[in-house]
Amino acid sequence: MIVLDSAQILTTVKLSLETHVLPALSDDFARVQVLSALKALAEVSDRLENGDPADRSNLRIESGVRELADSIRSASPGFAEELDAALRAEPAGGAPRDRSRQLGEALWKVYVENEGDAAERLLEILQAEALRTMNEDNVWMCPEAIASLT
Amino acid sequence: MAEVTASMAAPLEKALKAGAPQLGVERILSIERFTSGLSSQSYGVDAETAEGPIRWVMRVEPEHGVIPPYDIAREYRLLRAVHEAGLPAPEVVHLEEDPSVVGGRFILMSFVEGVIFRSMDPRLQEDPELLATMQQQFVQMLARIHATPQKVLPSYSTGEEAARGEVAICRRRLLETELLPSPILRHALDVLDTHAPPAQRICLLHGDYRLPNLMWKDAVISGVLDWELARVGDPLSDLAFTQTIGRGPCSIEGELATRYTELTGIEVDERLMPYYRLLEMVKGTVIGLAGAYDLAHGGTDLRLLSVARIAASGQAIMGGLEKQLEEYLEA
Repeated sequence: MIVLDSAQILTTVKLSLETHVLPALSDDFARVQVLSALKALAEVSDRLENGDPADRSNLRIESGVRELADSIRSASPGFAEELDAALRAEPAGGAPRDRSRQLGEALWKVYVENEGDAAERLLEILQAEALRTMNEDNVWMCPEAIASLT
Repeated sequence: MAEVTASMAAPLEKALKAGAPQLGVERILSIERFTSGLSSQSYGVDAETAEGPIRWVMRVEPEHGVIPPYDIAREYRLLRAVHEAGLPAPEVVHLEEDPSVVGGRFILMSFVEGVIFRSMDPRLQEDPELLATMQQQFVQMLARIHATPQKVLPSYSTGEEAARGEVAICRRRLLETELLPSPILRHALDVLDTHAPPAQRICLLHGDYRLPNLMWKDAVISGVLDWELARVGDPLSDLAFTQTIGRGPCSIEGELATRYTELTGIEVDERLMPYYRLLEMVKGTVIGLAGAYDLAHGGTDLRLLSVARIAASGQAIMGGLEKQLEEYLEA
């Protein structure tokens, strides 16, 4: 329906599920599927409003790695160049997750092929971003889904 | 009977009459889908038989899931072995190899009477005596499992291979299902590989030993369920599971760990436990994250979105466990 924007369509679907589907369901498994779907719709709505979280994550990693490369350039020019090359490389596709995959693999390769403080600092950057992303992502967890399993 | 399960009744009845005449099925009365369980979908099946009414549980091998490849025939053989060994595992009565009957191969097993206690069950918080009794039962049953002989699962010739073998399985699973690079998991796997300790004993492990997988009747365990993660390995693995992924009011540590040692003669070496806790966290996280992969490849159980998220949360404590492990190695 071209006259509605994506956010409006998502909101309508969400309201329909809450109003017409959930109250009619007596099957617990089906109910928890709908509750999980509502959380997923909310996550997609947030992406429409605030952009793809993978994009933000990539930017934070790039910034941290660039800072690391600059700080070690005089002491470890070879290592700094490897970091630069990983940042310069372009992913096969243009989506944020393509960049996440390419950047993650390239930087992990730099980490495992090097030793010392700079390599450990690189690992810290990657791990800290993974934890941060995980924390932000948890807001979309469906408690009923977890409760059905624990 | 809900519509989705009603359509299974006629083909199931026909298949059991033809393929399992010893069950004496006359009519399938109802099929009820259970909400618990993440991989194999389980159903309560009520039937009219020549002997009278009966209730079974049907576990259907999934096409998708977090711990492929699935092999319900292996589960059938293992359940039969542990049941025959005297453990209160459900008694399997039929293995259906034809996936077209209900949409996947399935096993039919006895329905275990009893109740399930969730980890946060208020009854346990309100009744310390009940909790203490259940904790003792919990430890005793794990000790019995670890003492159970079976020939279904492959054994390892040396204890050294057991931990490293588990790490290799985790690494393969991660490789197969990792949608985006996981620097924390990759690092933890390298640490586990480097420091894999020799096992002091090799035995049958349940692999998913936690309160929601036990049935209780009058504060006694009447059934041990969900054996799909069972394997052979170091018993400390199962103990570490109760302290991490399966953490709850019956976690085997402190006095309960001492009791476990009294029952089994297996020392719960606190210097080794960080290794096994890290291993269990990594295993659980890899399995949970596979939920996202499954959804991206045709899976439809939306609970997996949340499972993948909660699994990812496990990475937050891996750094601390690695540190504990390093401290032990330096000591």
